[in-house]
Amino acid sequence: MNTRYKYFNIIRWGLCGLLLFTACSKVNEQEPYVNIDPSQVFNSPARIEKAALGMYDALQNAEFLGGRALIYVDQRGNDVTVSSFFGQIPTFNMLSNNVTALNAWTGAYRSIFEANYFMKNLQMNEGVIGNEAAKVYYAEARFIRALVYYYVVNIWAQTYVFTPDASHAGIPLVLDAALNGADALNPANKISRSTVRQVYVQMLADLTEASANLPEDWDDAYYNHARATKAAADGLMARIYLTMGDYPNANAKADAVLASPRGFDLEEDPIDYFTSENYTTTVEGIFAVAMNNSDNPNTNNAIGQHYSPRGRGDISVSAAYRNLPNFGLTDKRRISPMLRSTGTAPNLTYWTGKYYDNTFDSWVPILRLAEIKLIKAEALARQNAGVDANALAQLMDIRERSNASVIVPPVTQAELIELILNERRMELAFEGFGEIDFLRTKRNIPARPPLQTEQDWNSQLVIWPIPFQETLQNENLAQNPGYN
Amino acid sequence: MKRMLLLMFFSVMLCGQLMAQSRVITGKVTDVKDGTPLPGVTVAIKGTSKGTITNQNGEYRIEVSGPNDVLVFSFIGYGNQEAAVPTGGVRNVELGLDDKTLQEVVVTGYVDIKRKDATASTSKIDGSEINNKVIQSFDQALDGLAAGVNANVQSGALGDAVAVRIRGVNSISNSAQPLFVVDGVPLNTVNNLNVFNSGNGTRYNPLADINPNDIESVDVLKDAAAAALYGSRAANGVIIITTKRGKKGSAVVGYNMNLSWVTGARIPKVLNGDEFNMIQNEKANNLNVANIANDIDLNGDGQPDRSDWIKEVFKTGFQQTHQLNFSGGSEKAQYYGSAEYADLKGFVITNRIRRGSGRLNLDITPKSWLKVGASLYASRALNNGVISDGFLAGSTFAGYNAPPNVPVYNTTGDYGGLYLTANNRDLGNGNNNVTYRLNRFFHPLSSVLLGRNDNESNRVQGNVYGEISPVKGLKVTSRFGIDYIQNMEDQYSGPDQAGNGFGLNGLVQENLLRINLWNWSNFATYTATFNERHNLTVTAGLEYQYSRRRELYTGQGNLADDYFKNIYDGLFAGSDNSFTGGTENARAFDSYFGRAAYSYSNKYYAEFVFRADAYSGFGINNRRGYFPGGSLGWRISEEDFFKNNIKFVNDLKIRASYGLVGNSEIGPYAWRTMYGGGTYAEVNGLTMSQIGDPNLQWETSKKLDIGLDASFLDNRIGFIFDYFRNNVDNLVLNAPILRTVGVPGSTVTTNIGSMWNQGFEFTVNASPIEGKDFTWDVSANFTTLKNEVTKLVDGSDIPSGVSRASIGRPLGVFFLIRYAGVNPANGFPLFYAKDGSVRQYNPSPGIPTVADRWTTQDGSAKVPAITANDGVYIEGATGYPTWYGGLDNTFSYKGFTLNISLQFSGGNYIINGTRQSMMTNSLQNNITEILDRWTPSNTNTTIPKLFLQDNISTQTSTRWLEKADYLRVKRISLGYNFPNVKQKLGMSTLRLFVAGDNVALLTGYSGQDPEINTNRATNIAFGVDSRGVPLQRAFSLGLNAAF
Repeated sequence: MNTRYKYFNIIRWGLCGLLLFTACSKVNEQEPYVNIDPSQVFNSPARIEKAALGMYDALQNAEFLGGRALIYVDQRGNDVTVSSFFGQIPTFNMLSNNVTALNAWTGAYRSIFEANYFMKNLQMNEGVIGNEAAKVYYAEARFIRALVYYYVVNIWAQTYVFTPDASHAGIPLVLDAALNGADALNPANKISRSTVRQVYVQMLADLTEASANLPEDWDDAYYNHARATKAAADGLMARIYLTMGDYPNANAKADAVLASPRGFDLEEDPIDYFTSENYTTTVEGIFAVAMNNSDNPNTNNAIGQHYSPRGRGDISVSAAYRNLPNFGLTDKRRISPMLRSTGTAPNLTYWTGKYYDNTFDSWVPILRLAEIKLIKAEALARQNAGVDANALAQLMDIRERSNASVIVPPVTQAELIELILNERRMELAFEGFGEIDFLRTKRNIPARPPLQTEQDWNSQLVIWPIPFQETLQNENLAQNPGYN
Repeated sequence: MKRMLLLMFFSVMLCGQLMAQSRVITGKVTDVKDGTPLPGVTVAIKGTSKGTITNQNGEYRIEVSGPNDVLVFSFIGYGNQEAAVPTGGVRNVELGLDDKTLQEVVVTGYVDIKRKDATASTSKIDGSEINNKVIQSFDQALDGLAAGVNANVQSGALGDAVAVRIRGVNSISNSAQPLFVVDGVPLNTVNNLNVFNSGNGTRYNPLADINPNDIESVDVLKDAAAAALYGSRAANGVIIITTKRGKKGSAVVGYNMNLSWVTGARIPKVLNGDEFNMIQNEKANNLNVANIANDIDLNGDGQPDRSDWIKEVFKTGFQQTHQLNFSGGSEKAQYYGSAEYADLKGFVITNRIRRGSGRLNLDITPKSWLKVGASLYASRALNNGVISDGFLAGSTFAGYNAPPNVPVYNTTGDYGGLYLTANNRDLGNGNNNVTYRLNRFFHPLSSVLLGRNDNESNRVQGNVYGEISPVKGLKVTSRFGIDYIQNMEDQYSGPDQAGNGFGLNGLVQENLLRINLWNWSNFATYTATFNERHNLTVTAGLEYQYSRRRELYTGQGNLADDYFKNIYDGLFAGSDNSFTGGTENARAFDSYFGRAAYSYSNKYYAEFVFRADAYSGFGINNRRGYFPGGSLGWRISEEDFFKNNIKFVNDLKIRASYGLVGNSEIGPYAWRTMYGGGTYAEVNGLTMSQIGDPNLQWETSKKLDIGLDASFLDNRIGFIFDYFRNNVDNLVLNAPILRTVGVPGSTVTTNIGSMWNQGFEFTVNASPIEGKDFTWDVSANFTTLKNEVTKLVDGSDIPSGVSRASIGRPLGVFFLIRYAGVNPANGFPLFYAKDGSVRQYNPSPGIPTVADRWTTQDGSAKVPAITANDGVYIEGATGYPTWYGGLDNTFSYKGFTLNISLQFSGGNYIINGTRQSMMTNSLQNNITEILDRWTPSNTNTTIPKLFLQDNISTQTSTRWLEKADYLRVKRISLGYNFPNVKQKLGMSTLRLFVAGDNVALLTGYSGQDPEINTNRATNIAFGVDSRGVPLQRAFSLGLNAAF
């Protein structure tokens, strides 16, 4: 073998080697490890179930119903002090480029997208589970969508009764979902705002459908408290009718909840509903956004972090709350563990006990029986002249449970309503009713000196600006008056 | 076409031979230094057009007409040498190097190119610029060293990532960091190994794993002709690192030591206790609120307690580096080995990096046709990090904010002795009324003394290669390299540490990150010279790369006791506070590449490069991209008309290149539409994680470069000039989707948008004085840059913070409300409305509504509030420098060497967020600037009257926008080489030096340092300093010894 031949051999084998190397390419075998293609989700009943539960995961959005939506409504009520953490929200001088507003808006529509995306894919793959099973999932999606829209429309649009026919500007009503990048970039997404009436009509349509198809009972303690049920849909409808001032329907839907075979009842002690051990067993709870230690909005967003001095401690309880009329010193809602304090003057500070112990994993309370009873009380009181006995009875149930002070019996309809509205604050404070209750009842929001002045219930700045960035990108989206 | 050209040259040569006369002279031209033959040397007869070129063995043959002829030997970089015609027939000549730069080798990772033959735009940085410096990673040293290269050390926290930008920022949403290649193996493209706090808590730059003292040289590939070899990864340029290797015929053992003392160069000046009380109470009183800042005397010494938190947090850090190296080799084998230990303490309390590393580089040539070798490197680093920047609990942030009128320590010894509150372990409130604070006050020492923010990085990096030369001129190389990173991030929050530590009764969190990368390149290079004048080099190859990243984390709260600071069996209770999880991804490339370079007689050059990359992260419809590049060069100085007329120019070459490269730093699955984990508390769920674009592809950079290399006056002055233009198309944008569409992340990654960068680069290297004892070398570089965004998603801006990507404007243009100063009459802040009119904001108490607070400057009429709509583009103002450079002077006198390095940059602006937050009107410590606030007796000021919690006057506006031009005395060093150490001590080198780094900073910027940037994750909102850690200043003492 001469040298030259040896070299040729090397080249020959070298070339073969080079060709073989093409087998080394791993380019086309890469599949994601921690993600899965939607086509592989909607081909299996078990995965469809998981995608349905994923809608609740999206509902836990740290910027919205993970707790912040409730906080924002209360920041503009009168039960908490002005928190510097929330910047210009509590002081009604937001600018349209407010980052919190953008994040909240984004978070809300992100939750809505999940429900819409799920429904759209399920429609395309309904055969995998059949129409009957699909109906329940659609009902859950619609409940979630309606729930989010309720807060969106109340934060960014004037209250329903702002105009007689609710024809004032509402919010963009998105009922479809982008399936891919091209859909997401489609200019047709630049939709304008529906009227408030249209939004309410949609919410009620969604909830009617949900109520018809959701189970009364999931036969599962966790699902019964953390997943949509018929009672949850009825309860939310009761609240929506109350907000609309449609008292007969509010009463009817409250009755539907009270008549539920689930047998909802008030807990013995008001703290029981807020105690983490009871989250999945409480007889008072209708629906809450569940959290736990490993799945929560974390340090800067969890509701307990904001409300508890054991966490961030951004939000303390106002003097106005503690000084509500008929809020006796022995009222369980006014003493520990429902109301806590830290420090001594001048740093003596009061905190709500509702989220005190669970800074990260407090569930976000959405619907509980105490609210339903107060809705019924108010609906009856407003419909019937004089003092409606049943309304008063509902109110007294709430008060007696908390060992509240004895009240002077109301003698007029107005007095009864006044009592009920105050009771709502005592009972439901820090659960996301603060500003909405003032606006829907056309009462001005009291001042919190020195920083916050009184706000007329229908003033321009009681609602949030549409995020500036969003109006910049979508020329069809009108800004709220008073903002630019 | 090419064949015709060749034929033409052949015929010219034949003519020359026909005219030749009687006598033939032969000889050999060698390098005076090592006697190696020099091919390609021009041998001419003076005063005639006759000449020839030495062959591959340095031999020549020329016919002369008579004994009076003079032979002129000339070679690029070796100057000219004349010799008389010998009486015999042989004349051997030795030529000496007179321009080192031309013989410099440009390392591209696949093929080495002599500088004189290079037609692409590259810069070389010698290892001496990087060795023995007070740095944690070599990229920190790059600033000011090479034209077109801007290395932004963004923080003084040890091991923080460095933003390296070559010829500007060439991407909007993707990484703008260049590709780093070490000894032919592309490194992992990850800037930060830490993931807790979204990777923004303590950051760790993986380049800090690599011992800077092992680096022989750094080559920067800037234009397409150079970088197209790296195809889809080359758009941001490529940085090639070559580590030291053994040299034939030597055996050296060396020891290098560096001792440094580092401090924070410019630290914020905050109010002392008395000033604090005065200012805070003035804020309150102006709002009719009673005093909010009141003294406390906790230790009962009769004096109000005072704390200088800045002094508590910032210390002098001592750093030491010891490196032992050995190198040498014979004809057949060369070796380089090193071992290093570095213990680097930062100037922020407890901040420290300890690194140990070892390297072994081997090259073995058993046969003339076979060479094998290896580069092996392993290191381990322990980083005691400190959280900083945006974190309230971080020492620096907490230290800036904390009231100076409360004590550091308590008197009971509880909580590790620190003065903390009982209810949440925040810093104690003293007698201050904290209702009006902006943020919680964390004790500045609690996160570092009661907790831990560490990471431990283990790195194995290296390659083995084999090279065979089956036939003359052909070299086939196979190189298999790995880069393995294992980083263990280790965070502990003690039970007395406010936040999670307290909330969860002690919390440990661990994250184990592993990145395994392998890269296999196989390529062949064929070099041939035809007829002595035609040089051809052809390279072709293929390359595969695969990297997989895996993370596993665990966490545990409710620890048994604060004695136990880790997760140990049986030493925690309950399952509620156990966390675990992880993530994983992988990416793969396969590539074909080639290069062909032709040159004629050191005069004409043409080069073509090409790469085809398939990347798993490109959309399924666009898997493979093709990246060609080409360049031409013409050495005018070799033309007779030039050579014969212009004597003071030794070398003059013009070159031009054009090509297409890509940016593929796209997430591994960015193109997919996917579901991901969507736990709903107790139950498993799946949630949409991404909406994707299956057409997603690389960003395309069309790069043009026109350059000129020249040297004058016996090569005493070298000059490099480049004009560059980079048109970037198909920018991968995280296209902002309307929020109402609701897609995850509100973005879709897609290719829309374009922009361009263009500029000039100048480099001058000169030796103004070259005496026997005294020499002066100076090297300077200067770069100008211009950028413009030309296309975006739908024409509307992409906002990010207060910066924007906006068509027709440079990337990152600031968009701000304009501050109009203070009304001297009443101290109220003034702003410009969009139309330019001035509006006044009245924060006084007792104004009924917000609408009543805004008036014209004279207060006569109500006007609408200033809002985001009053923002305007601050035209031309971005966070990116538009000019930068460096100036390096070295003076040598006998054994002494004095080096002074300056570095400068400017044309950019910074939002001084530190200043903004430290001028707050809430209860919190302020910087001393606030002392100049408006008062009835100080009316001529830009700081409004202080009203508690007024956040309108301090809102983000041009009030906080500052020019960032600076000149930095980067380093002054004085070294002494002991003479005669060989004779006296048997040593080859003994050198001592002292140096100062970041000695002085000349800038109008009022903040800590104009290089600080805390917006690391975005290319748009670049240029924000939000409480970044100041940069370090260091004084060091060093020793280099070699036997």
